[in-house]
Amino acid sequence: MRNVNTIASRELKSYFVSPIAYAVSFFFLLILGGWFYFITVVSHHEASLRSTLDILGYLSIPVAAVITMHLFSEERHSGTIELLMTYPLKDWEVVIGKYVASLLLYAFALALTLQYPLFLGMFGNPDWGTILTGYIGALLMGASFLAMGVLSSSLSRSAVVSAIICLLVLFGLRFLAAGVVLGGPVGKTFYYLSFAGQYGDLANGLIDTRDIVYLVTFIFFTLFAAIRVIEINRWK
Amino acid sequence: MIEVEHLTKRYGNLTAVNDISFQVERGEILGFLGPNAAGKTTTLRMLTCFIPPTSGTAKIAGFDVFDDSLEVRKRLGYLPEHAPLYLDMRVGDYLDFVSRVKDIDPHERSKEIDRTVSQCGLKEVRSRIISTLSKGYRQRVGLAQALMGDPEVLMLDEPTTGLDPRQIHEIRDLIKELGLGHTVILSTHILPEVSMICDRIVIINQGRLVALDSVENLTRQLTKTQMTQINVKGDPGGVVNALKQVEGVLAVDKKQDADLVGAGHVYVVHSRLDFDVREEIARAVVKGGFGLHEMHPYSLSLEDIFLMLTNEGPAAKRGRKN
Repeated sequence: MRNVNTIASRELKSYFVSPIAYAVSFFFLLILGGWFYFITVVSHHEASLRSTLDILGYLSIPVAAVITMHLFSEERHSGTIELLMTYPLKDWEVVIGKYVASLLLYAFALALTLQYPLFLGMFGNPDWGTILTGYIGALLMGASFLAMGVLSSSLSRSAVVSAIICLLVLFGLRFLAAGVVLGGPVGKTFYYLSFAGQYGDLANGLIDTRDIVYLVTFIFFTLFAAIRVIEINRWK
Repeated sequence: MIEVEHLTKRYGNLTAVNDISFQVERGEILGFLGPNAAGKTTTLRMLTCFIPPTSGTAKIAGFDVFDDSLEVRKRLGYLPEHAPLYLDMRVGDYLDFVSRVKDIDPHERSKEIDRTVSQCGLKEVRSRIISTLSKGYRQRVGLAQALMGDPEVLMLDEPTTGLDPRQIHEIRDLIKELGLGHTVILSTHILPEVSMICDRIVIINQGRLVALDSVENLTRQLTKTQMTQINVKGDPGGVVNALKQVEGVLAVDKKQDADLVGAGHVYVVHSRLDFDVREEIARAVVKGGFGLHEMHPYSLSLEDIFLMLTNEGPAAKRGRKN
């Protein structure tokens, strides 16, 4: 566990000395803030974060790709992976350490948006329970996007290629929900497999065990796959 | 301390390292030589558990690099080629990170960092960001991370590339000093470095081990003839003919043309080991009307050994013997 902590804090520091942390936070605040103000406050006069969190479901995909794309690609590109993998560290410690760092950065950017519910509380009477579940959902969904990003980064030496893999898979999973038009059990299967199916309810303040299980399983398997990929890379 | 047996690494059809076996004793400094792409780095990568061997085994301090990788890595200091470092970190922060992943006692940590910093001469750059450092300093930061935790075994892949002569001298002294208590494998293609520092050398060519011995022993083995180097002024054809008449002389090679007008050409005369031909050579030169400028016994340098074992095919080697 101590090693996970060491890796995570190194990565986290590296986020904050590079422009990534600031760019991500700026992007988050700009788009979500704009949406919150123009759609929720000006147009709908709603004391709810529903549509803002809905947008977050899309916004988090490129954000996750940007946060994670360099994690392994850059180490392989610059050769630092050779030192990292010859230190007495287990492969899973390296993968989890890097994942935790990306998760903390995402959580930091998400925390900056907590000002919106604060404004809602000052000028309206929002449903705090819904907002809380919405945030839990956003965090959980971000966590699964980031896990996918870590896996993508382990797949390529180029950070750009890693980001593209991550974007394709995540948008693919997101729009799988469109399969619902097929109707019947096939359509339902598509809907349940997609992120939209899982996250929609959470954003609306509904906690469904199926959604939680889906996201946690997704995180578990993608990280497991990333650890295996790191192992396989040694063989090549 | 290090036991390597039949180590082989294949990439598809390419055999990068082919059936290499050798042993390194505790406290020994082993020089690892070979032309570029001979398989030096691949071998070191297998010994440091970065890549697994295709077949064969390697043990460090009794632990197998594949089965007990973590135990091996705890006892290892590794400086990869080109010293890959986290460029966005400060030297001090980086060494702190290394001390943590190498699991150094928290109470000892700052003392250990200070030790490596002063050992590698990094005091004045401690708070600098690594990307702003010169190649020489980066190499030293790489060395410092390898020395962190005072590991039993050190593997250094071309540690002196990019250093200026004074720094090279310092690093060599440091490695020599380290050899007293550590087992060191030093990969390099700077030959004088090897003769100065290493107890024994391994020469690898095209993935195969072609020599494993001390420099003195290799010199003795490869010296098939007695060699005398002479510098003679005069027509080269005539000089060679005159020398070949001397009893005991096997061959005469013109080694070097005259570097100045009026100076002599340099020849190496190969003669039988049981014959001292020096007086006869002198007499023959004088009798032929040539000018003898210089004569001294010639012994194989490490460079000669290296070239003989790596550059030449078997046919050329046979030619040299005759």
